[in-house]
Amino acid sequence: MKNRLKIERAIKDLTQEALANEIGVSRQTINSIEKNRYIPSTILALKLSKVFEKNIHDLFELEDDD
Amino acid sequence: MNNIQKDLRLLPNYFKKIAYSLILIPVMLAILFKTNLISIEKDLITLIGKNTILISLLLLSITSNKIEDELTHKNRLKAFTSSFIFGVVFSVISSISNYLFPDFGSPSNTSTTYILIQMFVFYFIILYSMKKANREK
Repeated sequence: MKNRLKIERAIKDLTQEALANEIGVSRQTINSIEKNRYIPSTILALKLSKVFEKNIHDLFELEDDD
Repeated sequence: MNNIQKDLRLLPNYFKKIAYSLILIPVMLAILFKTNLISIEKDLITLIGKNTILISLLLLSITSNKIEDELTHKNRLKAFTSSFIFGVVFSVISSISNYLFPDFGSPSNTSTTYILIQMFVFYFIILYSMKKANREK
């Protein structure tokens, strides 16, 4: 699954730490999602879409092998 | 307490302090025994030492981190799985080697307590390495 988290974070000028604090996870979790090492749960994806005021499909995109 | 702590029935973070203080008990007993300040049987000290270490490792492994999220949850499960595999493989290999090479001096540290301690140590190593890998930018 591809995601635009890093780009959206840069647009909002948020650090990984700040974003992590805002949604109540560790910085490592944000880093892992950005690196595509970890696919977040629905709850976390919804929290992220709320922070960035974006639709979930604008943040996450399925790939052919998903 | 968040949902993840509830899901895994993890203990609150302050249990880490209790676990670390428990580790001090066998250390203090060993020092007191070596300096002849107390006279207890050596076997009793070994028994207390092994069991307090085991209990403290268990407490450390089931105590939540300050930030416990779904990635930590996943890492815990992976680490527990790996440590169980390690424990079974270790147990099978040591029993086979004891059977095949009885004169080779069978390792005495294959008791349940030692296998469990090794499993916990393995669990912490795996958990730490996953944590470190996630930290890398």
